Amino acid sequence: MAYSMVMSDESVTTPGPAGRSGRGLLPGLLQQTLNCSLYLLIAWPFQLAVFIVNVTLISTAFSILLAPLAIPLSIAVAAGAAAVERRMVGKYVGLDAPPARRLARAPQEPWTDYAVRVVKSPAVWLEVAWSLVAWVVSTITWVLTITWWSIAFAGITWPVYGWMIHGRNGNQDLSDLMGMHSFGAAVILNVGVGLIFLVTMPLVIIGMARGQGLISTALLGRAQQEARIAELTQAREAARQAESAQLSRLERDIHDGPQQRLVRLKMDLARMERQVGEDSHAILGLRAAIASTQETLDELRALSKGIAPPVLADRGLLAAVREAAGRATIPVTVEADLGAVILPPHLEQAAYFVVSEALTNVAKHSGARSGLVSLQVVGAELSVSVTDDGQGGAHASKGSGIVGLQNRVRSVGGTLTLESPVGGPTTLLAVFPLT
Amino acid sequence: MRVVVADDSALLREGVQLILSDAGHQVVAGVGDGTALVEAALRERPDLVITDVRMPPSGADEGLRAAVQIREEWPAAPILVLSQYVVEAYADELLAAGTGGIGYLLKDRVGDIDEFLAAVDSVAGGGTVLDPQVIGQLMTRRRDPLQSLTPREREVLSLMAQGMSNAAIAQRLVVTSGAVEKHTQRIFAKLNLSPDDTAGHRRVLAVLAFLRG
Repeated sequence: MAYSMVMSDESVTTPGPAGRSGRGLLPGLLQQTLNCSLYLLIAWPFQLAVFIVNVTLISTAFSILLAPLAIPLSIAVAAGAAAVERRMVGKYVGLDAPPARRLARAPQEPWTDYAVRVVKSPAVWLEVAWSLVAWVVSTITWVLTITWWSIAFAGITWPVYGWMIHGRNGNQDLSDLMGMHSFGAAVILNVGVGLIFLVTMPLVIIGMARGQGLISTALLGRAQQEARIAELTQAREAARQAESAQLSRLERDIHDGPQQRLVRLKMDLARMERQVGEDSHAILGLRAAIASTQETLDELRALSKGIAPPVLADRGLLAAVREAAGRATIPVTVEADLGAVILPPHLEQAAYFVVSEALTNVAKHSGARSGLVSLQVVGAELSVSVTDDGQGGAHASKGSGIVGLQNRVRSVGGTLTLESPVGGPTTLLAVFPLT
Repeated sequence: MRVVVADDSALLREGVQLILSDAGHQVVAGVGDGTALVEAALRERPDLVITDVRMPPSGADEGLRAAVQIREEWPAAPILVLSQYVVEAYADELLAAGTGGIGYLLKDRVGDIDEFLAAVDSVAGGGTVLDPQVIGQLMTRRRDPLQSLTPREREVLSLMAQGMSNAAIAQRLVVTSGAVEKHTQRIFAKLNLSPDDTAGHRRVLAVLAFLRG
């Protein structure tokens, strides 16, 4: 959210492409040509300088001793230059090149972790790559820009200086070579060539600037997308961790607070029941209070089992799933092959949720006589399946809670499929990526 | 009898203590975490240790670990575990540790004072008491071999697994001891359990061993 705010602010303050402000076609085109020329003329020396600095730094990095200094510097130079390039492309060429968002160090993040994160980011290396190759294109466009301006200028202004050189000391110019020796013909030819270059100038200059700008934004825009994806991934990871921590805390708060008080209340009521004796008229009321306290306790317990059962935190997914299978009203077999993989808490919670919801559904709707829960880690995926031998015909739209389950699975990057032909068997399969 | 009570909630420790002292038992130590429990149990050598599961310092299954640790030093320690939730896996771990009386009940059962006090006596006397919820889970799991039992026999088996004597079962089901005796004989025959295991604690363990498969 914060990111998109920054982005939209940026696009508001970025000046619109020069020359599109509605001052008529010609001044607009002239302005645009001048801007693009300026860009093309600056770009080559700039990119060459960046190349020289960075190629030097990267060569230095091959020395192990200097690498810790050279690599960060090289990354910084590339990032700085890329920022300048983005600004130039946006301002002079009018291409959409919003500034990249830097990978910022988290408040308590160790420098080493931050360094690893920076070095692992594709965006960073795309910028470095750009800093090394950009000068190749700009060399060509720089030469062509100078050529176009020179010929246009020299051709049109030929009548002003041409008389000084025309036909002197065996000077041969273009018209002489074409067999036209009169001064008038030379004027026409030179001015003509100058005009051709002048007229084609906007097309050529703007075309080159756009072409070169597109190459830059392709590399750097890609860098920017990568940075944004990295950031979103990180944000999602943080949100998941926060959610799973919050669920555990909620369960703990229920356990330490209302549950304890209700248990104590039941104890006190039970003692009172004994003290007042059978023939007291208060006994019926007390018994009703005890029963209602017990019901509240049962409801609370069912509630916290659905949130984050303590056995999940204490003994892991397999134990919690076995427990859920044991609570089922029909015999449920649990098969597991989890290897030595340590599952992150948010995945354990989601996988457990799938099993416990699926088993509830089996009990409610399927009419099954037995069930099978299978937990398997294959490659980089955790697959969780719940099968029953019931009547089948289950469907996501039948209010069976499948939609809620689907959302929960999707929120941790997994997929959920339901296979339930009429007549059974029904299989609910959830697959979670481990990374 | 002399009892050590461990629970991190003073509210519940006090509640349990009141019920025990009403019944003439004496709480010799009340502690709030696993480390203190191990220390108090080994120092006092009480007739019964009652402990919560979730306690500091780890905030996880601290009471269970303390129980196992106490049993390493004192294998016959009678331990009654009270918890806000019962987990079959924990019951297995408790039954596997040591030789003394063991109990594992939901905390709510303390409010059924007569049954709670019976469990206290049974565990202190070396018996086994498991929460009906755990037994229910075990019976669901071993459903197929149990198909041959009549509903009444299943009921008797469940009460037997909870640690009840034939007399207690007869009282609960409002039948004669002789009737319960007949039921138990038939259950043992149907499940191929050795008839030698018909007395007290050994009988419970045999039933549990069968249920746990």
